[in-house]
Amino acid sequence: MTGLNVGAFSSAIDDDAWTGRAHLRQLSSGELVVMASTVADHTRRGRHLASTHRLPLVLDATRPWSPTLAESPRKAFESRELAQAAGPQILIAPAPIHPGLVREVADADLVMIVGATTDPLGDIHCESMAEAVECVEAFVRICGRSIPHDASPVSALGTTPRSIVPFSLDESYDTDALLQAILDDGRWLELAAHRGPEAIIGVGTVAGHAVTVMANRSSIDGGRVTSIGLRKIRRCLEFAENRRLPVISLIDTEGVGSIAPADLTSLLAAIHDQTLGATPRIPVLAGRAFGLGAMAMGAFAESAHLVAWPRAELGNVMPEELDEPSEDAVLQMHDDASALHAAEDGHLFHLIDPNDTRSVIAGLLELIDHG
Amino acid sequence: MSTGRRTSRISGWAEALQQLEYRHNQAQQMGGTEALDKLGSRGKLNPRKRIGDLLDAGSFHEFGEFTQGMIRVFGRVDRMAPGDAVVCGWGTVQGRKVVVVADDGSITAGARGQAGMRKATYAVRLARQAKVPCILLQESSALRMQQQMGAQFANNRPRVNFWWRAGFVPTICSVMGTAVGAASFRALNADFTTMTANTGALALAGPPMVLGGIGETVSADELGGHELHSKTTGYVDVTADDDETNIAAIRRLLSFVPQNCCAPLPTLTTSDPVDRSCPELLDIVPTNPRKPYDMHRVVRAIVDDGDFFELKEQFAKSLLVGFARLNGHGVGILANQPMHMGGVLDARAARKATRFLQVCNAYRIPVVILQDQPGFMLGAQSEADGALREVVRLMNAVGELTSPVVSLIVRKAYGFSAQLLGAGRFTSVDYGAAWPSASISLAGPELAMNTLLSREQRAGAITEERRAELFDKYREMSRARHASRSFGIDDLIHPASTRTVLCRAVELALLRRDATVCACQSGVEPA
Repeated sequence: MTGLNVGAFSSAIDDDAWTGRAHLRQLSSGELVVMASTVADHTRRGRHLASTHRLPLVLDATRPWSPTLAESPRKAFESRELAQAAGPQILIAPAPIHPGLVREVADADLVMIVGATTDPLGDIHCESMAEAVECVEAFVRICGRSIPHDASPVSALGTTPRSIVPFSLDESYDTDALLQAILDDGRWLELAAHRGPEAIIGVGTVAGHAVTVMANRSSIDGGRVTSIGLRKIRRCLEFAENRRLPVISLIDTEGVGSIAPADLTSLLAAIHDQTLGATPRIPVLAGRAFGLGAMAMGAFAESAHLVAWPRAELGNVMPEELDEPSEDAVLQMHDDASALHAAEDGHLFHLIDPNDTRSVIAGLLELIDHG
Repeated sequence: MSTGRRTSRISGWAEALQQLEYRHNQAQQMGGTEALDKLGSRGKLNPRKRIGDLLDAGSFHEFGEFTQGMIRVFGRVDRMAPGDAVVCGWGTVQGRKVVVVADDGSITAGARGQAGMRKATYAVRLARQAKVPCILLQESSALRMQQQMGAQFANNRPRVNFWWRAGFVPTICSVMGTAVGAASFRALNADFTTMTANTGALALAGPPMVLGGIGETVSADELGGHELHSKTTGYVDVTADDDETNIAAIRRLLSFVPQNCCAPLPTLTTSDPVDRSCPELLDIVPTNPRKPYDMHRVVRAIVDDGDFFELKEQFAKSLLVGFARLNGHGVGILANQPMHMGGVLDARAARKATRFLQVCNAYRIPVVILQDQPGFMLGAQSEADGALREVVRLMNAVGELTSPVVSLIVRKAYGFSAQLLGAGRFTSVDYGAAWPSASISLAGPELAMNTLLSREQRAGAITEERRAELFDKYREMSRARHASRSFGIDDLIHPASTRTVLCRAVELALLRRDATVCACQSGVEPA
């Protein structure tokens, strides 16, 4: 360890004493992190420190660095093994991302890009370093070594899902507000918010349990998932698998948008592969759950803990999308697609009052995490 | 793009929630008052009452409550099956989380439809995913026969958990009604099986099918009741007089097993001091090796508060197996019972020992072995009973054992069976001791003498004096102190200090358990 500098993270970033080597730092929330530059030796040292203490690692590529490609293969493998044993790994890089950072990007759980750009590699885009630091603090608070135990009690929320979401499937609602009502207060960090607005992904906590979250924004084209949305879903599942976090998905989608068949196939195949992992999945059917969009969100995953609201519908295809359907046929298909029928057939874990969503998820997480 | 069509007659949240409430009430009624009364008249509890008694008050979280099946039989009116004849959920037992699946005998005798099967499968999978014990309260013939009739039977695929064997999360199957067909397979593939006497039965096929198939009129109890499975087949670990006692037995069993094969063992605080002397053992165990005594008294004298939870009590009585605590640590007890056939290990006793050691091994529960045995049962009948196979199975189980093992020779330990059960260095026991009066040998002095001098005896070439001399010589050679001198055993201990020594030995052995990495799912063969 080259130094122990305990102080506010935000001030540490601009600390003159910062030399870019591996350091232990304390965030304003009290969490410890390891900081290192992307100079190969410093990165390896940082990973070693982070894996030894199971701490989050922040790699700062905004400082002068040298490409790790110059490392010997043996050292590179050692370094990557260390990375897997460490806590969450965060890469802060200036925009645009230098091609030499490809390995760091691949290994990072969270890639933060500083500067005005929409680089597709970045999970979070920040205007300034100060904003990046805030995001790091929020991320570590959620996914850090210690799960916060001061999380708000299960039933202590002011707003309830039923007050946000109308019963009619055709009326729009604020998905972000719904997420706020289900997740712990102030413990939510959206990823890739700058692209694919119809799909929301991020990390948060429910009753103190860290989770990854996916949600459809049904107010945008009925929540139809585009190719960017599918990429976001894949990224979310990848993150969940790497960090062994449960996946909560709030599903309200009419299917997929216009996507080239080859793109759709490869993306769905990648998503399917991710769902084969051991990560627990809790899909909540909040509205419509139709077609490949719902499948990508986990509505039909066999091992999932599927929860639905009474207004929900699920099926292979939106009845209205059939070729010249009769009115009666559409009515019948909507009835058949109702969540109540799925519950009767034993496909659902539970059909619940939307206001119980948070407590049901919390109960499941408690069982799965601390069984 | 939505078109604004919605067919449901429900128009708002209030109405939707009312419907949920209605469905909830419907599910709570199970098969209806008449069917529930019928269950009650047979001395059975309904599934919700069983779950209520099993779990800590208010801890039950039900899932799949709105599942509904349809009972269709040609020539009869269709009937709805609330919950599709199964109630599932999770809750806590003494604060520990468990998943529970209870068949609803008030609906088609507990036979499930596809929806019920999905729900039960989900529950078993959830237990495995959450790594918590799974309790199956059985009263079912699995999938309804009418739903499997016809060539569509060829399309049947087993659900994933069909192949799961015991040994990963503790699975306790409690047979409270007639469990036939696929339901009975689960009972045998569980870690522990309990049964309510007079109402519980396990069989491949129920009485109507037996009558239809081979024309034999037989009751469920005769086919697979507690008498058969507790005394003859040994499939059942605990037989209870009624459902309440059965449920109490499940709760007690759970207190001895960890949450899963990798979890730490549950430990209770005890007021029974570790250094409690047990002078009564000197009176319980006679020094004359031919004189029987009750090993239960020995076990109860040693363990915490004299509390011994015996399994398979009526099966292979020459061997005792069960759970107890030593200084609060749950241990498996395996002991010969000299009161029954001199504690000899016959084919059934070997099977009992094998199964018990496999379960202990799967959850790495320490095993305390108390030996007083003349060896394996010999003779034509024993061979015909398959003793050889059972001995080899026991040998394999011992060979795979990774649980901590503490062995104590109380009086005699003869033959290969003694070696297998930890007398000496044949197996790697964590601690092996003997009482000073104990003897260890390939065979007892009398058997050895009769075997080795058989030719002289037949020729009448040996005198009584010579026989007595040889007998004394062999007996002296078998004294445990010789094994102690050659470090064949770890120690000779005073009988009165047995409890103290075993408590310490178990604590020492547990350190090894904690230090070793769980092998996960070593597998347990069917009961």
